[in-house]
Amino acid sequence: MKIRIWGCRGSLAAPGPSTVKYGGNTSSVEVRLEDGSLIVLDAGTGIRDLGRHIAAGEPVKKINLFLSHLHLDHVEGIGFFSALWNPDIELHVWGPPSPLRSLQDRIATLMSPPLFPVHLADVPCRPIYHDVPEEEFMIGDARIHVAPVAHRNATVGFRIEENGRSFAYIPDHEPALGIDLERVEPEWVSGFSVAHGADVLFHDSQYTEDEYPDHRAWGHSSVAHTVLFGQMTKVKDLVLFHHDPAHSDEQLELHRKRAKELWGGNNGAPELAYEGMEIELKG
Amino acid sequence: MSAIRQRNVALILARELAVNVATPMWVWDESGSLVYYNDHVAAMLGITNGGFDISELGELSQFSPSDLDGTPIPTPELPSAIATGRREPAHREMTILGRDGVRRTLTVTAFPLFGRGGAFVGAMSVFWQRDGDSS
Ligand SMILES: [Zn+2]
Ligand SMILES: [Zn+2]
Repeated sequence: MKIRIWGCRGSLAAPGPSTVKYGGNTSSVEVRLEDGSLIVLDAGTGIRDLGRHIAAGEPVKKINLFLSHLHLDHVEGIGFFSALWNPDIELHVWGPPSPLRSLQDRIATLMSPPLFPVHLADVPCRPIYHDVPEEEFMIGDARIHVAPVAHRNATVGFRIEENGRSFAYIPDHEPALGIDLERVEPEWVSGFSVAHGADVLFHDSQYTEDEYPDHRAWGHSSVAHTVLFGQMTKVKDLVLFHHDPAHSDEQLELHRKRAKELWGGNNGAPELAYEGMEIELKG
Repeated sequence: MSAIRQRNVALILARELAVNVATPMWVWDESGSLVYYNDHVAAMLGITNGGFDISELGELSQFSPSDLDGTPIPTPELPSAIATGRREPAHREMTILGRDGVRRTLTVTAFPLFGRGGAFVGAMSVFWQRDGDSS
C-alpha cells in the first residue's frame, strides 16, 4: 500500500509562514491499496487538496472514507471533498457507532445551515454510511481492524493490513490517561490491538512533556507518551502526527529530537508527519 | 492480528477509575470475570496480604453475604451478579464476613457498562462500608 499525508495538523488548521514545512491542514491521509482501492483516513482540511488530486487523476469509482471521530478537525473538510460533488463516485463513509444518533445524522449536523450552506441530503453524491464493525472487515485485499480508543468522545483507531504489511492510524489518543504505560499489561492499554507490531504507526503527539500536565484529559499525548506507546506496541516506524496549531516548524523539530532521544536505537524513527509525506509498504 | 487481546476502552477507563480513587470499587469484564479490585475493596474484605490472587477472589458469595436480618443472599441476587448477568443496575445493603473474621455492614451499588457503540463491556461495583467491626 501507498500512504500519503494531506493534512497532519491537530485541532485547528494553522496556515502561515511558521508551519510551511510540516503543513497547516488538519488530518487527512490517503491510502492506496495494491489493487488500486482508495481509503481516505479522516476529512480534515487536507481532504480538499486530496479531492483535487483524485479528480485530476485516473477516474475513481469508489472511495472508502474512514473517520476516526467527529471532532471538527477530522470532518471539517468533507463539504470541500470533490468526491461529495461527483455523482459517479460511490463514497462509503465509516465512523464510530453511537446508539443515540446515526453516523449520517451526526455528519448532517455539520453539513447543514447555518454551519454549511448546503444540506447533506442535497449533494450530488449519495454517500453510504457504515458504523465501523467490531469484527475485522475487508476492503479489497486489505484486512481492516478497528478499535475504540481513549480520547474525548467516541473515537476509533484504524489498522490496515495488506500482504503482511500493516499501517496503524491513531491521530487523537491519550493512552496514558490515569495509566502508567510502563507497568500496565498490554491488553489494558487503549489502542494496543490497533498498533501492535505495525510497520508504520501515525500517532497523536500534540504536546511536549512540559505542556502535557496542563492538558491532561484533553485526549492527546505528549511526545514521551507517544514514544512509550510506540515502544510498548513494538511498531517499526513511528510517525508523530496531529501537531498542535501553536507549534512552529522549528518547535516540531525539537519535538522530533526529543522523541529520537527517548526512542534510542539507530533506525531513524520517530519522524514528524508532514504534508506530502509518502510511505510505501510493499508486501 | 485478531489473536491480540484488547480490552474495550470503556472497561480500561473504568479500571483506571478504580485504580485512582480511594472508594472501594471492583470491575468485571463482559464474561462476568472479576478483572480488578482496588486496595480499598481488599481492606473491606479483610484481605491484608497484598498479593491476593484475583482468580481466588471470584465473588462476594465467598464472604457469606447476608441481609441485615441475617438471611443469606443467594449468589444470583448479589448486585454484581445482577449487573453482569442481567446487565441491570442493582443496589443492596448487606453484611459480609471478611477473611479476617470480621463481619462488616456494606452498601453496594453495581452497574453495567456499555461501550460507545452500545455493546456490553462489563460492570463495576462501588462499596460503602457502614461500620467497622460489628459482629
Ligand atoms: Zn484531532
Ligand atoms: Zn479529537
